[in-house]
Amino acid sequence: MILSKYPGLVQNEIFRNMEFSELLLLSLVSKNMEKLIKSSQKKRLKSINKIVYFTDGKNHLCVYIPREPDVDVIMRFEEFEKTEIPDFQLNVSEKIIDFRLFTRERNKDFWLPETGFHPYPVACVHKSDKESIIESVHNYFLDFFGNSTYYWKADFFGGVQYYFPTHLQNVSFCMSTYVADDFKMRNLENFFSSSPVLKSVQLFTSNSELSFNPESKFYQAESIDTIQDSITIPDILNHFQGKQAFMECKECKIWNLINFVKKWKSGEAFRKLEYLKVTVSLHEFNEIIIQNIIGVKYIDANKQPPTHTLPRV
Amino acid sequence: MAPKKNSAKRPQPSTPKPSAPARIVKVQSSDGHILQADVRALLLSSTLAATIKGYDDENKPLEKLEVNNVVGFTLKLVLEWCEKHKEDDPAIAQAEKDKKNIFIPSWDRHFLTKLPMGNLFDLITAAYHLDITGLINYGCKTVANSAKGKSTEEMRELFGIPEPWEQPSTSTATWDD
Repeated sequence: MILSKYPGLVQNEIFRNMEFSELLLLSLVSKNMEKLIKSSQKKRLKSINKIVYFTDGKNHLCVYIPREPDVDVIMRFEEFEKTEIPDFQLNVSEKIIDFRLFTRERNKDFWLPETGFHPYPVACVHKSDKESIIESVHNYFLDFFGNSTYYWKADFFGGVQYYFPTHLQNVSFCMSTYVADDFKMRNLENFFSSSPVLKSVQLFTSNSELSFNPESKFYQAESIDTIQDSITIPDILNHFQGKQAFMECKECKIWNLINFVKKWKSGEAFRKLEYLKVTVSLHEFNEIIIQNIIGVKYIDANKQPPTHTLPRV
Repeated sequence: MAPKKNSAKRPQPSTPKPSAPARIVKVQSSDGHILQADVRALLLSSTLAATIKGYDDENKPLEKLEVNNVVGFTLKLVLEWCEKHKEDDPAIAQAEKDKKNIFIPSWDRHFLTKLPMGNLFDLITAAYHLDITGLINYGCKTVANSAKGKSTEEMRELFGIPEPWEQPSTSTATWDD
């Protein structure tokens, strides 16, 4: 069967039925196949607006396209010893990269296409060549998927040295972590000091003593999303330099919040902040009184309210 | 609440209705093979349906339909598929066409996956020429499924993609890398 001899409509239909990981691998087989897929699936490829590199700082780096309710993994990177034999090699952005098939370790009971699992290529990364392999693959993604937004998301665990490929084009860096009671803050502080300024930080903690160095890059993140039992509002709000903050806690000292909003409204501080959402689940305060204290303006129900929407970072 | 069954979304053949006696016509392939088919099965092909309608409108007796671009072996497969689906609601195939995940019913899966790739290729091409939406849907999905978990070498073989240093294997191929 020669795919190139099929009528265009049939080629489109075959490609439409393939997952992104399959299209990606097929495009790497030949330059003409790449052209064919890019022109046939232009609209579909263009519709991808977000591609995520996800790392836990150890031996796992995978690239996925978020898709509710799950994700489409399109490639994984894995450290490979020079003595190991890859399944095949591909020319990716003018660099020959070793690959192996995911099927080698596939769990036949669960990871079948019939159960919604789709195999993806695994790039074999030799430690000495890691940076250039990731760069070549990323350049290929830029060309193949076009102007998607790329995120490098670190799932932080203490004591691991994280790698941030800051030389990659069009990539924003993010992190998420759960901070337990016995967590060593020093590890987290080290993480922020060695990372670039982050686009987004998601921090979930039951540790009420959580407190960062005022100079920490945590406060420079463009967007923070925290869930705490007892919020450290004075700390976080007084030092936050980013644009958006989403904070959720069970309880907090309401005067801290009131003072913060007053400072923000007067322009005395937090000039970059565009959006703040604080959710306090066990509050015992009167919302009307608070709204009066901070000077909330009431809009006549008969008038058209002003609209101001900001995209979530 | 009981979970919804997936099968609710899957295409179901329409309930067989008491129908008029089958109207059988002869169908001739490009290499001269003559086969017989129920007109209801042939109506799944928009191309053949238009021809049949032309005969009916002019009250001309339809004795033999000529299918000039499909050989006998492939035409037999096409007619077998159409015979199986002749009771289907044509709207099902149209609705499936735009779905992201096409579900292939078990009869069709068995019918299509047992075919060697070359025959499947001819069958899909015939379905395209005869404009049989359902067969195109299931055929293309079967081809896409066959690429799952394949190495690049296997993909080259499956889709007839030459190695970078090879010339196109046929005069009509467009590969040049």
